[in-house]
Amino acid sequence: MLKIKNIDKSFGSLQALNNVSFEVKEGEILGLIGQNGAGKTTTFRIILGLLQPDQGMVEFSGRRVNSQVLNQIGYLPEERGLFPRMRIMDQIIYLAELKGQSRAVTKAKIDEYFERFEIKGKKTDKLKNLSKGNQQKVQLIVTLIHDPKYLIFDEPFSGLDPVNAQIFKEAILAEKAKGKCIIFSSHNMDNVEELSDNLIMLKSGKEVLSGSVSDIRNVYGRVKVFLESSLTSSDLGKISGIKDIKEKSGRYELTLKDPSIGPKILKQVEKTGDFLEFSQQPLTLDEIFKMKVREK
Amino acid sequence: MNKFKVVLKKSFLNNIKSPAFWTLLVMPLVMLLFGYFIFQQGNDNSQSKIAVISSQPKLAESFKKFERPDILYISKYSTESAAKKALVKQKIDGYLKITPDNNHLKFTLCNTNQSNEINIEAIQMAINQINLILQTESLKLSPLAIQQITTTPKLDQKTSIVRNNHLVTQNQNRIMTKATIVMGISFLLCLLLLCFMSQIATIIGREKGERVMEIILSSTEAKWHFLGEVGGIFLTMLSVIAVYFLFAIVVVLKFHQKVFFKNMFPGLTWQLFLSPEIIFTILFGLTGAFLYLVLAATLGALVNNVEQVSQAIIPLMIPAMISYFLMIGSFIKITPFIRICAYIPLFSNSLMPTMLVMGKASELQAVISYLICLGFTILMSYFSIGMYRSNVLVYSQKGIWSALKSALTFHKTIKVHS
Repeated sequence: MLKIKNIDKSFGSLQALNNVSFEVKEGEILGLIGQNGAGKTTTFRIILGLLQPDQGMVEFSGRRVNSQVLNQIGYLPEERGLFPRMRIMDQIIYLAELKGQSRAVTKAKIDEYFERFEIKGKKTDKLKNLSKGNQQKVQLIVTLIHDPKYLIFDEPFSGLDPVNAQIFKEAILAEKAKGKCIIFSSHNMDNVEELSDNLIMLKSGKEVLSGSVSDIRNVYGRVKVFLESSLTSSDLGKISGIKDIKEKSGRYELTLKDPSIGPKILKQVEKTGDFLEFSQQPLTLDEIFKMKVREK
Repeated sequence: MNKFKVVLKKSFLNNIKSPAFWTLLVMPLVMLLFGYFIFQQGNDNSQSKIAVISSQPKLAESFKKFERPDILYISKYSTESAAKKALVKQKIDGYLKITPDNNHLKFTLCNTNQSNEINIEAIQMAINQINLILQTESLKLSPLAIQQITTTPKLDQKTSIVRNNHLVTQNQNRIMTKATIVMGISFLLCLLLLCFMSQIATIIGREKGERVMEIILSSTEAKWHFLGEVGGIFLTMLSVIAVYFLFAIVVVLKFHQKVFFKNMFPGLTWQLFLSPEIIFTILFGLTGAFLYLVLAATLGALVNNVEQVSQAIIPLMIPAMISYFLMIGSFIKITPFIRICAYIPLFSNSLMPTMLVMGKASELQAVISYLICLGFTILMSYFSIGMYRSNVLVYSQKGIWSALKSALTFHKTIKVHS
């Protein structure tokens, strides 16, 4: 289990993290979300021991970060961090050696990983000769090849096409199935929702949301209604308790002040006797994220 | 420690595989061989053929006794016109015409602008000797009398150096040879340093610019990575020195009997390499080189990308160059400024060995200077690791000095697995 306890971190007068705590159990994925500058990368750097927190501590199954613990961490940074002029296999071997895995073991694994991630290129090629997507896949190999217990992905889907993004998602889910502790950050809330068991939202270094994805979505209740019926926007406008009405090709997206308004709308719809869709849902993660960002 | 070995191995292997390494290794050797070839060619062509023309064939023959590697006397031409023809056809480089002049002989040397260079002094000496023989024969002097007249008093020079308040007699030849070796080693180290300083700064700057440091430092401690990279380049430098050293041994073994070699290194023996002056030169050189490499790596970590490295390295190039020029100057005159600099790290590594070999510093002074240099190197290594740790993940758009300032500020807050 990975535990982060009451972490504070300041750079001069800037408080980058303020009393941040969370934990990730084996076989769990934690999504870390927040705007740029919210403190996600600082959190990752503290977990990796690249930064020392002012207060608080990080524990890996009860142990502080040390050389042995580092060997059990796989880290995929936001910006590609590889040697462009070095042969792909040489750098995978070198970086795995730094994680304590022998050359022979890494060499034996490389072909399998190349095939699994469908890398277009030879392992003897220089990295700079690969496309950006394939370079990102090499970075993923470097993250996973030493079979780490703890995985940290900083914006793993950034710049990937949908096919490659799917390969990354499958890889992350496969690691989860093996019982790894996984943290990842992303600005794409669909990915966060799809992959995360729990999530933390940081805003100016503070936790503003924490919990399972379904719990967080249900905190605000089912305040979204999707409707396709003969009711017009002026009819809907007469119903009290609707905060916002959006219409696209005859389909309405309503935001309610309170979930209890939903059944009232349904009654009105039923009276018309003519409707194709009525669906009352909680806010999406994306909407919650935007709402939290706007909150003062 | 294992990760230090991994970084060291990667750094060393990458360096010795690079074309820059092979260029640095091979080019000076090729140039030396080329220089030797030219020298050899010059030597082969430098023997002048001088025809001696005299009405007395015995006199012309007598010049044969004074032949040297650079002069060959030919007596087969009996007339001046025959010698002239030979000169035009470049069969000879000149002819020496001997004609009676009252009771003396007159010697005239004729050559052309196309002739090989003729050693006039050697011909003059031969003429003097022949003239002396002729004169003593005419005066009927005994061999003992001739020897007494011709023997000149010999001037011997004995140079002593002051060591621990005592005069220690040194063979002037040995001093000259040691000085040549010290100068050679210092020049070689300076040349290698300038190359390898740029190289280590470029490696660190490039790794930082390629954003690979975050990955590396999430795997190993900053100090092991820093020392591994510096150690790798230091080993590469030692490899170059080892190859040059082997080359030097081959040269000594092959040429130690040759005249030009004896002139260049008079009094050279294998024991000379175990003398305190040479040992101190090597110790100072290697410690100084490590110090410069550590500082160059630290400067390399200040840049945002590899393009800024050449600018970042300038503050270190300046003392390296000044140190080299002061060393050259110290062979001419030891000024008080040089004496002070011989105790200052970054300068002492090239100045103190020179002062020692010139007898201007004692072994005790060299030990003190070396301990200062060693202590400073250890201190700067410790400081540089801290700087590297706090700076290698910081990207400043405000320039190198701003980055240095930030590094000093964040030195306390940033910590990478220390």
